[in-house]
Amino acid sequence: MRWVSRVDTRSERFVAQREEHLAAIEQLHAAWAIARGGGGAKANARHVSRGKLLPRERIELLLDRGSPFLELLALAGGQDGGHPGAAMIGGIGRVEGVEVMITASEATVQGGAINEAGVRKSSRLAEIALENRLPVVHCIESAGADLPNQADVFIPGGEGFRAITRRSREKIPTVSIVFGSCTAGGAYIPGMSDYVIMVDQNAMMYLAGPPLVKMALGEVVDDETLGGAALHSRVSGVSDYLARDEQDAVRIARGVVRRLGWRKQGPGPTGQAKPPRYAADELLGIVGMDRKRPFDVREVLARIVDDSDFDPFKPDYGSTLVTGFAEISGYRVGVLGNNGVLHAESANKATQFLQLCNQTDTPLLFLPNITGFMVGRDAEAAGIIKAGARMINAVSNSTVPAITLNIGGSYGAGNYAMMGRAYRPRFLFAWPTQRVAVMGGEQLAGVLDIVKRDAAAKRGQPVNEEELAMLKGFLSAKVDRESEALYASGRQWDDGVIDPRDTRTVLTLALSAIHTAPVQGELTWGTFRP
Amino acid sequence: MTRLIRRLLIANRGEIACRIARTARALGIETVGVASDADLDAAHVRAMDVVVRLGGESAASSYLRADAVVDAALRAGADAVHPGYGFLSESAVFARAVEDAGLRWVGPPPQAMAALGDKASARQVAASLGVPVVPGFDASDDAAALRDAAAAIGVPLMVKASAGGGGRGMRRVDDLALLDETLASARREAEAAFGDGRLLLERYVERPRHVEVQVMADAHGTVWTLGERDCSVQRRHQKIVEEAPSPAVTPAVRERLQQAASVLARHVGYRGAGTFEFLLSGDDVYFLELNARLQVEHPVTEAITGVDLVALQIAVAEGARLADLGAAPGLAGHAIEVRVCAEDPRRDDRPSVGTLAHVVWPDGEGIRVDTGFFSGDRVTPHYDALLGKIIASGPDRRTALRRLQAALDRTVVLGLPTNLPLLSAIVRDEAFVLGDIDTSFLTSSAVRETLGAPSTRLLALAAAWDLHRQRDVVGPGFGFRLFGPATVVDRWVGEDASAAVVSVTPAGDGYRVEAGSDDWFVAPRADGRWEVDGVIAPLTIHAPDSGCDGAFAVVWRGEAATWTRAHRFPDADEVGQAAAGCVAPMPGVVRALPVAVGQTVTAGTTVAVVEAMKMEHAVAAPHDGVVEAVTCAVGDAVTEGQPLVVVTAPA
Repeated sequence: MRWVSRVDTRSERFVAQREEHLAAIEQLHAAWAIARGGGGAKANARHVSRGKLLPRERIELLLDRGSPFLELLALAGGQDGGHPGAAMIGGIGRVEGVEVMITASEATVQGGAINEAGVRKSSRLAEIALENRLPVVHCIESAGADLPNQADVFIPGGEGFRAITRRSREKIPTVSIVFGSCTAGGAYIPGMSDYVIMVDQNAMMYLAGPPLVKMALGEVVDDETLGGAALHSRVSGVSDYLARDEQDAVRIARGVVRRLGWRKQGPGPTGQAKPPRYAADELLGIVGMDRKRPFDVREVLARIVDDSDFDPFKPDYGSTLVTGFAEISGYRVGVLGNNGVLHAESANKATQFLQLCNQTDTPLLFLPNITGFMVGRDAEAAGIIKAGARMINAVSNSTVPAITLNIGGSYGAGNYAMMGRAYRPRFLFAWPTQRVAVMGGEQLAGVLDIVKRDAAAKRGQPVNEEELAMLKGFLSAKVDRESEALYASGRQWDDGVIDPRDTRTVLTLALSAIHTAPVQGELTWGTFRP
Repeated sequence: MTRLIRRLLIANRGEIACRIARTARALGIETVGVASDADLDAAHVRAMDVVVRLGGESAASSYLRADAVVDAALRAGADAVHPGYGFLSESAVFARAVEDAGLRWVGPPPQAMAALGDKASARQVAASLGVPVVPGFDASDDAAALRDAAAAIGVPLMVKASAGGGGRGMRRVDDLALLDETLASARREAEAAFGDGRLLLERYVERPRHVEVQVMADAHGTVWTLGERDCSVQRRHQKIVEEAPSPAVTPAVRERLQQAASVLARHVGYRGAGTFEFLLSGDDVYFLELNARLQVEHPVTEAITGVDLVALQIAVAEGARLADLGAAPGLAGHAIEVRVCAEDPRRDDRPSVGTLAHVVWPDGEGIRVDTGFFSGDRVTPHYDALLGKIIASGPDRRTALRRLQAALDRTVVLGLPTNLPLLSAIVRDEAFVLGDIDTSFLTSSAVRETLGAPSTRLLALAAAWDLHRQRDVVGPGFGFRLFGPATVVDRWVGEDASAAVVSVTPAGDGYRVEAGSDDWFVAPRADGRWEVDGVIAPLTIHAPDSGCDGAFAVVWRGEAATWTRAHRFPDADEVGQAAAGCVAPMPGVVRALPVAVGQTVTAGTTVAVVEAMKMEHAVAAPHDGVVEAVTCAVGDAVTEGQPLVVVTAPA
């Protein structure tokens, strides 16, 4: 059913929202610019002066001509003044026609040392590679763990090594190109990999560097002799390929990927991939920055799905949740989007729809814009808890791949029911308009007000209005700040904030990555409370 | 007694074989071709009714083997042999062998060839008949005699192969100190090309024009003179532009030229088509030689006389009387021919070898093309570099010239460098347009400088096109980056070795292209044409397979350029090669290695001579040093870039 838009692009509201939205995109670009700048002009110049390519140049060289690169977690660790990106670049691109997960250490950021955000980012990237059966190419030049903060990274960091070998067991190869020195833990990333390429003269791998060796054993030995590319390629066998220089290393890596004989196991696109009938640019005016202003999620869908063609399922039942079938660049999807608070009927509809999608191996697209489940006497009497539990059961146990795109608010249990981060969608993207929290700052302040006043009343004391106002103001501001898109993305609650105008492209690339692995649903669930 | 030719063996290849076959077929004569192993898929092979393999690849092991060609004719049941030009066309020995085998020879009688085909004897005969000749010294392989004669004649003088034509073995000497080296080199080339190392010397005539008279004679005493051709645009003494009539020949001079040619032809009992070559200096004419064959540039004569010279050759060979065919043709209009050759005018005219990826020959009013090369055909290093000829004619020179200029703009040869840019420059050169040139035109005029650097606008097109073809391969998300489309950066090298770093960024339906301080918006149009900054025109491009590196040949709005995208990744095999220095400049055969291991050489010393496309190319020591190794032997076939001699720098 082709959607006929009711949006008035000349309305005052539309124009104003578009302006707000563009300003937010500006901020996003500013954050990306910092991420892209790596360690800054000076550090980059020093790096380049050593005849080395910058990490983003390495990626560009590795990628096929014209290949997309779906960068993931680009702003990870960027909240609270951290460097966005966490000293690492990761994303999905094509190498010799194969979609691969590429990571590259940013040697110019914090000396390439991995902090807690970096550990979480690399774990998430590893998870994406495993779930979607993407071969991995690591471009490594890392100082290893951020030692002053070892307490934050040591224990979770072990997962990185495990992830490589778990993938290997799942027959998903990892190729490591070693561009610089990899000491101790850092040596295990290539060490665990299926293929290791080392750049002559520049790449080093050792469990302990020359200073530590001297300290421990009294041996005096230089870098190259101890763990140079030549040693590892000719003597130890730690490295499989000795590359003449960085370009040569990338050439070899591309050759390795070409010879993997990689085959996508999903069905791939089946539709005609007609573009939407409405311009993506209009999304900016439809969805504004003010979360109190509602919008019709179907107007959003009409600017994302093929031919603006969307077949709603149960349109007249539980209509605060829109469910239905569509295609994106020919990939079939089952869509769930909010047009209001979740009632028991909406939740029941969702549960049924999730079963149908699993029955037909149809991947899911969630478009949350949700304050939560309906509350109140009527709702409770209608068994809203039961209905919500059934929906969360279905979301939790659904096995078809799901993508969540936070386009508005994602609050409270609504976040969970709409395939929030904890429910492990294959990919989770957000628009600059997203707000993620247990509830809005204002609501939280309101709850606090009631609780404080009740407590004061119980004690028979007067409320310190000044103190309460200050506390409310502080808390409200904190919550609002911590629910903003860039903060959330810094905390890695999503895989990246995107320009809404790129939505179709990003979803297509994510779906294409998803279809690298088999796309299969199962009809196995926890017990449903009827 | 007329005996009709029914099946004609054409003992040649390339454009002339195709051209002869065309007339033969039109006359109802069955055609028999010959082919070396290198030519089995060549156009001339496709043009023939029957083809006989000669084996071999080099000219010497194939088309120059008189016995094999006669044998081919007998095996194919041919009753006549047309030799074309070059190869065996002026070999009296071959002509006799053909006749001895009972076959008709479509050419002059062997004795006439013997009398005038040799430059030295031609001079003697001419002098005896009162036809003026250039002072000189006759054929000899006696170096001492040649040295003495050279001293007597004085410089500048010309060294020529006694047996040959086509500029092979021909050298100019300005300094007697260099005579010995020049003689040696000319002799080697003469031996390789004609199997006869005798040389002759001649006074060098200043500012001469090269004019020649086309003659057609029958066996019954009729001699037609068919006007003159002017072939003054030459490089390395090989003609590349010819026209008829000559813009420098007055009616009085023409009368003298025709008279001289006629006297000579009658004197030797000439029969068939022949060309009497003269130098024209002012109003003075000097007889040079007789080319006892059909010539490359015969079409301009055909254009202004309306005759088919090949048809006349065949008729004469059949015993026909020219008088029976009508009155001697008159001259009308003007015609100019250019020779399109596989050679790179920006790199010293070095021959280019490879596959012709895409060829478009022009057509239209007053345009004739004689060629033996089309898209997909191969140019090998074994034979000369002529791909084809474009002949423009019209009622006057101005019309012919303008038609030629336009025809050259429509000509596309992609896949390897050709002299098309040079030809385009020549036909637009002011002196040429005025007809005011001499044989030194190409070396003395600035026409080569106008070739200039290949157009960066075409580079922008190549780079954008290269990225664009990935658009469908990649599909949705083409070039996507979170923060805006990816810029693809590559280094490109032009045919003049200029380099440019080009970045291409998708922008809407097109591409923003930047190179240095220039930028363009380049976009494909739905109708297949391409837009550059608002101007839309058809684009012809030939490029290596997607994802491969290599040369991109681009033609857009009459401009042509070849740009090569530099390798993104080093090729492991390239290691160490650059250091060698003395490498083969092109594919060819090593003809001389005048140095030995241990020998001290100075920069510029010739350390090897490579012959390719019948031209010798000296390989010089890049610096002073000692010959450390000689990595090839005389006679070796070598590939471009193959190290020949290793010269180490002195300690």
